[in-house]
Amino acid sequence: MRLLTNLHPAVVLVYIVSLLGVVMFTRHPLVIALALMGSVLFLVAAVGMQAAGKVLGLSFLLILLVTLTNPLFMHRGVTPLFVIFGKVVTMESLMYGFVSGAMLAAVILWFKGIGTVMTSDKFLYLFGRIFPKLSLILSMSFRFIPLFARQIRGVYQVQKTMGMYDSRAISDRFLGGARVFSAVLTWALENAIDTANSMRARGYGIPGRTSFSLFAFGKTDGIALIVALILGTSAALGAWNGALDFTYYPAVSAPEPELADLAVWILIGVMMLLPAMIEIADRMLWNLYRSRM
Amino acid sequence: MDRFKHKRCIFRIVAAMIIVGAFLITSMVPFAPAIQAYAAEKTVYSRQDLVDAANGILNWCSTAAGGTTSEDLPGGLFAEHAGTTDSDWFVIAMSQMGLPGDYAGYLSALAKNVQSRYSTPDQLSASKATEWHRITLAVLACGGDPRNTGGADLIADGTYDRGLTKPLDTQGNNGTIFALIALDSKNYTAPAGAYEGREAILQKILDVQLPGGGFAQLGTGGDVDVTAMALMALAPYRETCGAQIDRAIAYLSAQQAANGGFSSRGVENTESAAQVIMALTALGIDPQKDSRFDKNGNTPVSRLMSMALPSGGIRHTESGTEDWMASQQALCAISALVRQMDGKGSLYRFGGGSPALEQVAPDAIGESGDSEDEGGHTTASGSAVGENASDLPSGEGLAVEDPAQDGAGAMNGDVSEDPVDLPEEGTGTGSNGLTRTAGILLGILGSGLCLRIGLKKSTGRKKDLWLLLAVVLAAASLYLLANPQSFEQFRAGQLNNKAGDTVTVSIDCSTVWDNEEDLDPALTEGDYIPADGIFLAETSVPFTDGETAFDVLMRVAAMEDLQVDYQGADSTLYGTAYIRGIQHLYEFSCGPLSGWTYSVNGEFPDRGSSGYPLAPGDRVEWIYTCDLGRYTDITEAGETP
Repeated sequence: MRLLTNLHPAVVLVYIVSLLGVVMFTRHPLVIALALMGSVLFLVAAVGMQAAGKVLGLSFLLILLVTLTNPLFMHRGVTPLFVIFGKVVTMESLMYGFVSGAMLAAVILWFKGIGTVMTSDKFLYLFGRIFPKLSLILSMSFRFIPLFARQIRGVYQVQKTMGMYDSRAISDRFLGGARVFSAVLTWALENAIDTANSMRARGYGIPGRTSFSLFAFGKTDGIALIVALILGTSAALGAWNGALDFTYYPAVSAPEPELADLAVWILIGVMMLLPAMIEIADRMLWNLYRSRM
Repeated sequence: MDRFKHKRCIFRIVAAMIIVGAFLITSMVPFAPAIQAYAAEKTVYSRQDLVDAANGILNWCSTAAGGTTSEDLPGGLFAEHAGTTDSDWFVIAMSQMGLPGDYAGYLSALAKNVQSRYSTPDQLSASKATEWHRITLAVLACGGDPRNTGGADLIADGTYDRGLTKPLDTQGNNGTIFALIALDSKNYTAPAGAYEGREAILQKILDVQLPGGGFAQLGTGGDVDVTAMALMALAPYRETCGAQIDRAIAYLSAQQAANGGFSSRGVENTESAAQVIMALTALGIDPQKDSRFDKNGNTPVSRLMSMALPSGGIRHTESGTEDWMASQQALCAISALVRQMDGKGSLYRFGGGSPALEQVAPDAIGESGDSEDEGGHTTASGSAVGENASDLPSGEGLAVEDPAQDGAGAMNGDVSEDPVDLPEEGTGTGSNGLTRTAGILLGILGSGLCLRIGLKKSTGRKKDLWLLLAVVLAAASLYLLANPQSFEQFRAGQLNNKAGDTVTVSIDCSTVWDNEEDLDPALTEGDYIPADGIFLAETSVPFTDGETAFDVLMRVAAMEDLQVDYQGADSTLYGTAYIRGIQHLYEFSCGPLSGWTYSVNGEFPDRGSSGYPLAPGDRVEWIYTCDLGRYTDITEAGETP
């Protein structure tokens, strides 16, 4: 079994919250690059190259989109490149857009990767008592995208079996896809209400309801929690100290790095790459065991 | 059934026509200026046309002076007037065009004239340094040596040592301008002990450039002739004074009348057009092809040629008769054009390679303190370019190229590019803007039609094609709508103004220093806020009636290269533009209550700047406030003009 899936949910939660906190509240290109690298490695290690490929392609598009959109609305910066719609496009706003896009992509990829570890039953275990409704919504939304994709595939296949989409035109396939999408969207809204109703019918959220789960807090969990706390605190202290400061407007500049900043960056690097390393080590160990069987 | 088919057929034809039209118009937009030139039946004068016109002028000269057409002008008729404005320019133009004549005879007449005038206490002139400069050029044109003409050193006395007697600009700025032209005519160098060297004279010229890009003889009203002369002097220094040259060209382009001509002191006249032609050829720009000087197919050259009368002489104004001075300057312009076509240098260059700036500190030349290309200047490390400068390998170790020579060389071939890389006229104005709007509308219409046909009336591959066409047309309209242009083009478009009136603008952010603790650290670290808090001291800005405080701010931003960011009038609640930031100092850059406000003649208007029309002479002050423009700041700032 994978080490990460066996960890206590609270430990994973502390780790992922501090990690995403660092990623979301800085625009430091080094940190964003580390986060992106860590998330890609982790996702590939967790779900395999093929499944990760599609998401990676989409996040590349997202980066491109944000990079190109930011200069349309932001005209600050000292390096004018050219003028469209009568407004100046600056290099600084392009760079800010690029880093923001990379940040968004990194966050999405982290969520995707963490979803394989932090399953919805763990969520319900952690928050089911305290925020029953919130955790239900969260677990439903985590489930939503894969469910949606599965449903789309199903509807499309059924329609194909019924003899639709035999046209050779690419545009017909696009338009057919759009129709399926709109149908599944309607279904998803209805399905969400159905799910909520059925959970309610099963007595979810009322006092006195018990649920069984087998999550023990062991020695490994203790060590992992200490590591997570050390990494999270040092990142927070570093941010407080200005190690994650980076200015884009009016000109791209960063404060002179100090030795302490370097230490913070290394710790953040460890934080970003550790999950992927553990996952890869697990995989290798598993292959080793299997080869001996 | 039949009628239905008929209807469909008509619909298809109309649709096809609209789509084809849309495509044609969208694809034509980039070539709009060229198409307009052809549409206006623009005449491009050939070398032969110009030579014929030159001969016409000379024929008129000799008949007007009572001679015959076969008379040798330089050695005969003109020699009597050698050393005066009556004939010197004629001889310069003729010689530089390669016309035959007894130039040696004229040279000896010049020497005699100089000798006799040097015996008077004022020598050539009491106040006019240009006497030396003109005679220098005439001597060079006749193959003489201005360093020793009639016993006088015209270069020393007229340029670098003239200041010992009288300042070069005693007569006005053209004294300084022509001093540089004379000094560069064959690359003379000022010796170490000279009163003022090449750099000093160049800097003096740059110092008198007006905010609008023009130059004046005296005072602050830009004049086309003087601006053109200044451009001729600055032309060899494109690398160091590119920005100033660009602004002067933009000024000239804006001053051009719809008929292609130019006015000086309110009168449209031939001489101004002739000076502009000479300036453009010196810069390596073809006055017949450049779109900035093409007003609906009318160029300075077409205007000049239209002033020729049947006798061959040239009028001063539309209503006048043959005029000596107009004919003289027209001949100079024609000579410059012919030289350009022949790939020779500009009119006032007589070989000797390119002028070299002996020592140029990066900041010495260029806009004060704004040295963008630090270390970009190579100095001609002590390579003394003396009188025998032609012996030096040309271009070796020289700081500046001669654009005229480069450009003129390129003119021989079929060249459509301007050698001087300058912005064309700016944002969609006039007929170009109209074509663009039409293109956008037709593109959207065509896109809609294609979409409809694709979705409703076709299947399979055809459907793909129609929808692809719709996407392409929509993209083309979007492209036209976005109107991408280079930053330089954008700035040149903002500069464009024909106004005679002015207003003054100042930009002041000194309140920032009272609230320094709130200032954005990014602005504190970089050198963004000047120590005195003045982004722009009170500056006079050209202004046309009906323009708003916003328009004038945009123009002054283009003039002084200031950064301005604003929210357009269409996207604010009040329907007027909102100035977000000036020179990287934005709203909220200095605390949550900070931002830009403006006052006109000390009063704070009750609306946005794009809704406030100015009157000539208004005093606009842009003031940065850190407390929502509350009373204290504003009265303080408003009280100090």
